[in-house]
Amino acid sequence: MRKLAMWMVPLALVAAALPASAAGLSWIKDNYPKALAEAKQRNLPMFVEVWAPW
Amino acid sequence: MRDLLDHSDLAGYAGQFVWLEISYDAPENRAFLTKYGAEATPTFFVIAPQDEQVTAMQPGAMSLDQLKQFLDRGASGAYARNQTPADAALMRGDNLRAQQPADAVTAYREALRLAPTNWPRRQLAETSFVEALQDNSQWQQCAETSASEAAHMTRDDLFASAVVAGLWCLASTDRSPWSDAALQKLQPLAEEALTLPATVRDHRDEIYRTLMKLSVARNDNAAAAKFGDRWLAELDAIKPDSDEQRSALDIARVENVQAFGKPERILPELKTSELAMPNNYIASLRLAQMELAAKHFDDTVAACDRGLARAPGANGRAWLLQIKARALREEGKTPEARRALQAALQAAQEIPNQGSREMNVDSIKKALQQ
Repeated sequence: MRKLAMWMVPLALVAAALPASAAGLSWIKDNYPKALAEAKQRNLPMFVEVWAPW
Repeated sequence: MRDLLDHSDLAGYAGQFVWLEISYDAPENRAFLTKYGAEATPTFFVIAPQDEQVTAMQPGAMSLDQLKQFLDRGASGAYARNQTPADAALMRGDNLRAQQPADAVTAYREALRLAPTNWPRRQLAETSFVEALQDNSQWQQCAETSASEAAHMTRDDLFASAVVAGLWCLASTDRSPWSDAALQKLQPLAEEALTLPATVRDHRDEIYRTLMKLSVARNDNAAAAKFGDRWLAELDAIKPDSDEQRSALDIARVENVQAFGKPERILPELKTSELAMPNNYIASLRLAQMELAAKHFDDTVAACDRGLARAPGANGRAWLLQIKARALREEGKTPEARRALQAALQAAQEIPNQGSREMNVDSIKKALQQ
């Protein structure tokens, strides 16, 4: 685990926009209200990955 | 870790969740980050749609097996299926952990107290308990619990996670008789974790980093150099097959040098990466950090300017401008350094994550007062 407090250290795995997933996961990007609405409509839990580009 | 989320073994989970990625850098995520918190990166949540409660939470990297168990546990919690009282306490701990770590400690302790014989999540609860003690800055209890629990754990990825948390706690506190005693127990476990195939790259990096830091704190620079050499040799043996992997390797190289060592040693790899990832400002930022550490001030400013031209977000702008200001000040260019800091302050005020925003704003304001 890399703590945010180590602010000057580039902390996480760098990623560009997510490519189409080989696992077939369809990602919603940076839109919690949209994901929540979809989760409620489909009665599915949300998997959330919080990441940083640094 | 992101490669893992693309793994074909996860195909069976595709229709069982709504998949959301949240970037720290995106301003539209401020409400989510304020509500759920996340003090490490990456951090993973499973959230039930009905009441928006967290049913599983994990800061830090996971192996594929850990990730599948995490998804199963999160889904089980979301539907409240097949839950024992210990499962419910474990879920409560996950729900509390990001923002109320003291209460999470209590919940995980309760999960272990309620755990039936042969409870399949005992090892997970033990590791989560140690990590929550870490989150709650209970360094001594965290390190001592890690040493005692990990000793009898099955040697898998959770074992490595528990050891990593214990080492982190030891490295977060000053040297003392209790910390020396805990290190004596934890270091062999850490060495053992390094021999296990289940220990993921992030955990290997963290073990090396903390062992180096703990060696330096005990004035044992020879041991720090030995761990540092082993670590760099492992990193150099990996041929990156993606920008993500290249970046992860470079992050580890920087952490290695920050723990102990000469920055010049990794400058060639960082320069290669900056050229290989022409749109990635972080590659320039890492290079700038190490040029600054090597006292190459003109090269630092140049790397910062290249990074700023690569469209960084608020965090990136704030960091690059602070590094640039430090290099300019070292060169005696005080007015230019001040201008860079003022621009950094403006960028820092736009950082979405509250904790990161406040930390950067405070740091820049202090630098401006000097």
